[in-house]
Amino acid sequence: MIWLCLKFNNLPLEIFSHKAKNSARVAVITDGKNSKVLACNKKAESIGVKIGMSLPLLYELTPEIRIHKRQRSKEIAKLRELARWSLKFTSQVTVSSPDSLLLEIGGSLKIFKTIQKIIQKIKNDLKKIGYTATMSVGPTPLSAQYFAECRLEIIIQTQRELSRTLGRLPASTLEENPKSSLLLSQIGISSIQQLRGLPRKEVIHRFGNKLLANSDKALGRTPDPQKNFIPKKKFITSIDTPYSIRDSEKFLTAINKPLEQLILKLSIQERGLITLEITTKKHDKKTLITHISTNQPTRDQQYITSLIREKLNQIKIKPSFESIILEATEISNLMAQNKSMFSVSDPSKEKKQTEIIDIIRTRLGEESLYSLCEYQDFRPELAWGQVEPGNTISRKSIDLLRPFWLLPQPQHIRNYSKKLWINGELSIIDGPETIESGWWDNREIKRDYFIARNPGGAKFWIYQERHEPKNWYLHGIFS
Amino acid sequence: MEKYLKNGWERMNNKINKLIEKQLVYKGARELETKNLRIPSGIWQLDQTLGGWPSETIIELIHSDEGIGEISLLLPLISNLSNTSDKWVALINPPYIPYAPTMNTKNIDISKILIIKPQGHKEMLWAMEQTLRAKTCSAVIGWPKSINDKIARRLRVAARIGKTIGFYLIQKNSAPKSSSAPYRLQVNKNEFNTQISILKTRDGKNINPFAINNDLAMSKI
Repeated sequence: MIWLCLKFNNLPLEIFSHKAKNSARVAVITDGKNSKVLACNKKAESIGVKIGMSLPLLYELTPEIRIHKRQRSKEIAKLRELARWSLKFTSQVTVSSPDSLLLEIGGSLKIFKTIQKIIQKIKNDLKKIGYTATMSVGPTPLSAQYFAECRLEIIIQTQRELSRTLGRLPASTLEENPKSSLLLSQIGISSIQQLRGLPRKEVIHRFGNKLLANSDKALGRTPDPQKNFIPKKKFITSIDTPYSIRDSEKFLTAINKPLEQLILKLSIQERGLITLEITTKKHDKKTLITHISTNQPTRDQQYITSLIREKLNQIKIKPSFESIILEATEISNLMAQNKSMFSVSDPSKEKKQTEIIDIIRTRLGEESLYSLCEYQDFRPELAWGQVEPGNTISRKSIDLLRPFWLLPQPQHIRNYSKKLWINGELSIIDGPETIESGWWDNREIKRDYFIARNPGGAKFWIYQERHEPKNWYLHGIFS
Repeated sequence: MEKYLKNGWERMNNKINKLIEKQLVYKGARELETKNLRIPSGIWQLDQTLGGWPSETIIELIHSDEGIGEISLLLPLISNLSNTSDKWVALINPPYIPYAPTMNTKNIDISKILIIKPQGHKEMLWAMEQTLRAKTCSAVIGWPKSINDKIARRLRVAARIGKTIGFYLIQKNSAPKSSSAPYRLQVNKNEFNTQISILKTRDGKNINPFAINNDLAMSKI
């Protein structure tokens, strides 16, 4: 038996990345109180975002970052989807929560010849769908898992190599228990080998069974039966279309029946739709027409149809196909997701609240809609940010005189013989308020803010740089 | 015979309803908005003259320039709705960044605010119609580049379906000469105060222009 472990370290982040533009900075924060950065993309990393960073610190760095709360249920759903995909390499797959898959690839070598070739193929596939994994191979499932957890991308096949390499891993790998880890380090045991050198009785007495039982399993000394992943029945329906379909309304009519069947299938299993893919088929050649995704799992046919209509209006359908296939590629338990971020208690109401978000984003794109939040920063441009609707995090207010509108970029104010001018001469009616902040992160500002009015009665929030040449800028508009 | 007549009526009603749906036929205004729902505006002159903001319809807000108090006219309403309703307040195509710290000091619950930034004019109008009719927005405020009768009528229908109050703000030089919006207000400013003229109400009532406090737009002064 040869076991390959795929550990998707970036799963919390990658489930969101398909939504964001490449240029966007993305961070995932832990759920619960005192959120910390759990993962971030390269763009965010490049400006200094680090894992474990607290939220206020993150905002200090930049307000221009997309922040998602961790969504464990989506991660599990994705992992199962990846398990289904991995079945093309072997028939024996185990889902090891929260983020790993174990593949028995010994039986696949007949087809793929070498382990390296399988790994290469998996890597290529993953790259295409935008996921990354640490890959390790060991003769037992648990050894492969431990190597991957220690981020050792190695291929170990023989028993001798196994006991040598596994022996070097930290003993704390065997059990995720801070108490035992502390105790281990206190008695000066760092590696698995050292642990195994101790009298078994003593170890069991002090740490319980688990440590040794796990190391025995990893070394193959005791059996470690795996629970095979059996793919759930696919939520897929189709319809033959003997006539040609050109316009989207006819297309919608055609998929009405299969959609109804799909929803029935989902309702039998108490599940809701998150992503639906629509493909057409001609002579066994499949073409992806479009896909829709929803913020909350749904079985509302009318609503799903309206989202599809929106998508179809944006594309041109090639009329030459023989059948249409609908597949729910991402589904979720209708009940499990309801305890989410909105303060509304009635789940059916909550689902409705998010529908408009899906409708707008389906047509205008993911980035076209957002909510606002306030950050604790004295620098005006860093005191606000964009967040996912429902994720507004901090709420507090310092009662300062601030305009309703902020300009995305401060605008230089024209200056005629020392007179400031915006559609007429400005007269200063309040100020200065000095704002000096940010010396710690290279985005330092030193400005004197004023409120000014022009002859038309419009009120502006303007500032003068404190350093030479003491330029004036328009930063906000009272309204 | 009676049965036959009844069927005929039903069939005709169905046909008319279909025409209304397609917006080829409009119901008369009087029947359209018989319910005289009003939302307190938080501005006493408006509450006194109009009885508050009319709901389930759209209001055209013409302003002579940016930053002359057109937003301060809406702030009490946004604050009120964001705190009393679970629904969203949608801002569509705002000209600048609505500044979150200011909204907090104005007692607006910013978790209810949705910002929508469509790419073009058509998309903007589409988004406005969708949010108006969604039934999940307590108010929709849009900044269209331009507006015409047909669009205003569509938005009005959407607001009625969604039971929402909708505003669109438009600068004086882009505003149409006449409009099918049931309510039209104009905001002007002189050195001392912000003038509100009510150009049109649904019942055709004539209301004298009034001034609102010049500094309503500011937090403390």
